[in-house]
Amino acid sequence: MHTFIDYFSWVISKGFFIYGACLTSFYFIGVYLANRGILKARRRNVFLRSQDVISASDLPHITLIAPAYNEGPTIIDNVFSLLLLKYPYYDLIVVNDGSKDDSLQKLIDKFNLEVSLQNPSENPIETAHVRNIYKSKNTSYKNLTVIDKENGGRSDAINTGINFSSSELILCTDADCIIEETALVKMVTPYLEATDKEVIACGGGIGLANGSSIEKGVIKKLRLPQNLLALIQVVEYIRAFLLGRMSWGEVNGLLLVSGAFGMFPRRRLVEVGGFDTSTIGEDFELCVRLRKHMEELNLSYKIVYLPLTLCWTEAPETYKIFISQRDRWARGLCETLSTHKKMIGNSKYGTMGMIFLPYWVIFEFGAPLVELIGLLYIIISASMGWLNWEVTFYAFVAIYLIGCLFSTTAVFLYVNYFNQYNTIGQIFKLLGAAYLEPFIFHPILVYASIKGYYKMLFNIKSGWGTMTRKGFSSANSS
Amino acid sequence: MGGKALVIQENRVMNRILERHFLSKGYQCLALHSLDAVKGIIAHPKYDLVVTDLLFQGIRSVDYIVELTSLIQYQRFVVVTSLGQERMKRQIMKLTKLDGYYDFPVDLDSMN
Amino acid sequence: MRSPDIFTLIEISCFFLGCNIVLMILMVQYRKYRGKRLSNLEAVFADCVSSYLYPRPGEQITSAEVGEALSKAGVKKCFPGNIDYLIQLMIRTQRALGGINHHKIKKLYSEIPPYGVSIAKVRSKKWSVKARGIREIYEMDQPQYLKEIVPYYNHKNIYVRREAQIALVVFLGWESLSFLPMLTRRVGLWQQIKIVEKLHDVDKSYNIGYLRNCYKSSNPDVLQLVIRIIKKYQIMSETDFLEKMLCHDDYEVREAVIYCLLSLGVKNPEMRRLLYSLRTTIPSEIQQTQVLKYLYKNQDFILNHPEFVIGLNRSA
Repeated sequence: MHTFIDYFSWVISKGFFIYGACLTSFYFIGVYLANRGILKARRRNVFLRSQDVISASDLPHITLIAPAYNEGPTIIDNVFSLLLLKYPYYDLIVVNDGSKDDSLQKLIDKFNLEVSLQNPSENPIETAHVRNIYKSKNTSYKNLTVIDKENGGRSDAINTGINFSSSELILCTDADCIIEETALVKMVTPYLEATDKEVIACGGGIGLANGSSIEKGVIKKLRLPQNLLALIQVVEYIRAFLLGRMSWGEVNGLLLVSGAFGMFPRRRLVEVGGFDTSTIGEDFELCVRLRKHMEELNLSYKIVYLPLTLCWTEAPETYKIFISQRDRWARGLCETLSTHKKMIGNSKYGTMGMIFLPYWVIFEFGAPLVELIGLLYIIISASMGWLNWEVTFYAFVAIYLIGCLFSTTAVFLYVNYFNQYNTIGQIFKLLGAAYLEPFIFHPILVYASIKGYYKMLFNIKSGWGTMTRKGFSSANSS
Repeated sequence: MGGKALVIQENRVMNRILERHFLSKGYQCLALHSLDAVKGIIAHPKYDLVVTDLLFQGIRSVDYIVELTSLIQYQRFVVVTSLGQERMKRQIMKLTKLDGYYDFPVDLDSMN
Repeated sequence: MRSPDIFTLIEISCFFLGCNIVLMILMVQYRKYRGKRLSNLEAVFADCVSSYLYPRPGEQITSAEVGEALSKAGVKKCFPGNIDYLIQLMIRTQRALGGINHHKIKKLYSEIPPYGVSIAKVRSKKWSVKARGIREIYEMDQPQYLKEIVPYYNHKNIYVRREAQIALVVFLGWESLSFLPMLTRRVGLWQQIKIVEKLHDVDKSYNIGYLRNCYKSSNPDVLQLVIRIIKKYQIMSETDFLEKMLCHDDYEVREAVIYCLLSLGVKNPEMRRLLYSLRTTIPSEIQQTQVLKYLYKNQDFILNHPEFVIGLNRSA
């Protein structure tokens, strides 16, 4: 019996070790790839500067689609912010997704909107009923369109915008995001530079603006959040976007362009039928479907990630909302992987089927499960007296330090290449949050993911959950 | 020539060049970098000439023009900008009466 | 894993962690210092150039004096970053100015040290340096180096090739378009936009012969470029070619034709009518619908063509 337990224990611990070693190796390969990608992007930027793009003519037309649902308190400031973008050829479509508050009336009053004729051409994507289309009587808001429709969810609202738009490129965002003025100019560059491979999606970094000074939809002073949970999420976002997405982008392995800030060619969106309205992880699902579509058409393509923070959003500051958000993300991940399970390990889909999707299954979907099993194993071993406390303690310290090293490297790259958090005080605050993360953030994150998986497993419906935001203008205006 | 000129350009080099250009033409020239700087001046005289860019941080070109024209009095209003798109020209011309719209590259000496 | 192995791992992690933190602090300090230095350089450049172009009465600033002032501000061979920044400032200024000032800046660029920086870059083996050198040469209008750039017009690196092709257009104008039919490699959208803009800057009138030479090209990117030139110069005579291209196999070529006809239609409504009547020949339903949407946005077109609304209703 003792021998069996020893053998079992040896297998389990080796399994954890191999899993952890693989994950750590991937992370550090990711650091290398991200660094390489950033340097390449900087070299390329010399030949395509924002100033040149702003003053150029004959650029692709972009439609910015911002769905809004009950955003009454912040809608006006947010729309102003979205109208500030420096790009000569863009339209903004705000889709009021059946809001129950006064969002629409506020928009009508502020922007002097009047009902415009509906576009009579057929809609390529099926959506909920459109009640009215509004355009501004004021010529300076000529590029603003507001679509009022019955509630159908975020994906449905974006699809409505896609139907109405006629531009070559579509940028999907949220009405509560603050977008950098030069964001469109930067986001369009991969499309301008593309030659051999078609760019089917482009994403940029998303930052957290909790605690920053915001005036009229523009970040006047970027500050770090006072709230610890939000502060830790700043580090998490830096790591996820700068290292994770950048490195995957470098090997053309991006499977996710954030729904809050992603640009797509309209043609490809229409071909795949737009966003899937039945899933909660619609951004991930769309990217996988777009890639699948291109693989099936046998066309070369790429998904590009820009190493720049171009969009700012608000992070949840309470554990309740945070858990609800991450539970939803976990369910979205499960749903998409389950929808496209035939592609996993399928050589017909090339590297996506053989490498990228399996990675997502093993390390993105699998990580919370492995962590949970690991925790249970430690508890059982400890209670049965099988645990070597000294080795366990030092192993824990080593793992913790490797995690800290990884986060510190991410902050290092961010500080090195971007000029956003540029004081020593801010750096130490970020590092402090990174070092506290394993104790007060990560366990909650694992809990939220497991909760999401549980709901998926037992088919417990809970939809999007409430993502209450304080709102930039009301809470943080200086 | 002569009189009071106001130059508003965010680009430091162009700002200085335009200032020097109008000084050489006998204007009393005030060169500023932003709309906030214009707002910072308590009493504006009536300018004989206003020369401005359209690209400024944190404000749309159209809103900038509307705000600027409501802040100051002027005789002639000229835009010198890198934004040469027809669409932009039309939009600005709808908002205010312009005496000139020069997109880059601009020949300053041939400006009337 | 044994305890000694774990200790080593802990030690290595601590070492790298410490290095990271120290480097980060140093970097932030350096960035502050660098930012101030570059800002100072920009201020000195603004003063020098404005004085050089418009000296005060009695003031005479020579290029040597400008060079000396810039050198004092840090433009020296031992600081290549500062040199690159100065060149960037010069390009930006050069692009903004036309007429005599353009020529004065061009002269200043060739007269102030460090001399020959851009052509030295062209001779570099690194693609990024080479392409930068070519860009600097055409932006600063230095045609004496054209011969050294010509061989790169079909270079395997996209950036070198792109900059070389733009340089040819800047220095040779319409004549340079003779290389287009020979191009087999892809021509990116930005490259097309730049070529069209530079061509228009060089020569405001068009030479249809050079353009028609490119109609036979089998490279869809070249066809797109030609269509963009037609659009930029508002050439109304090439409707046969545009009609043919509206049915081209390549989606992007068709897209370019649609935009071209819409743009030509601002001056000549006949072009929009043509687009409307030919829309069903476009081999993509997405584009057919797109055409309707574009035309629908134009109220004048709807008012003048009541049959258009009937057509729209049918398609709906």
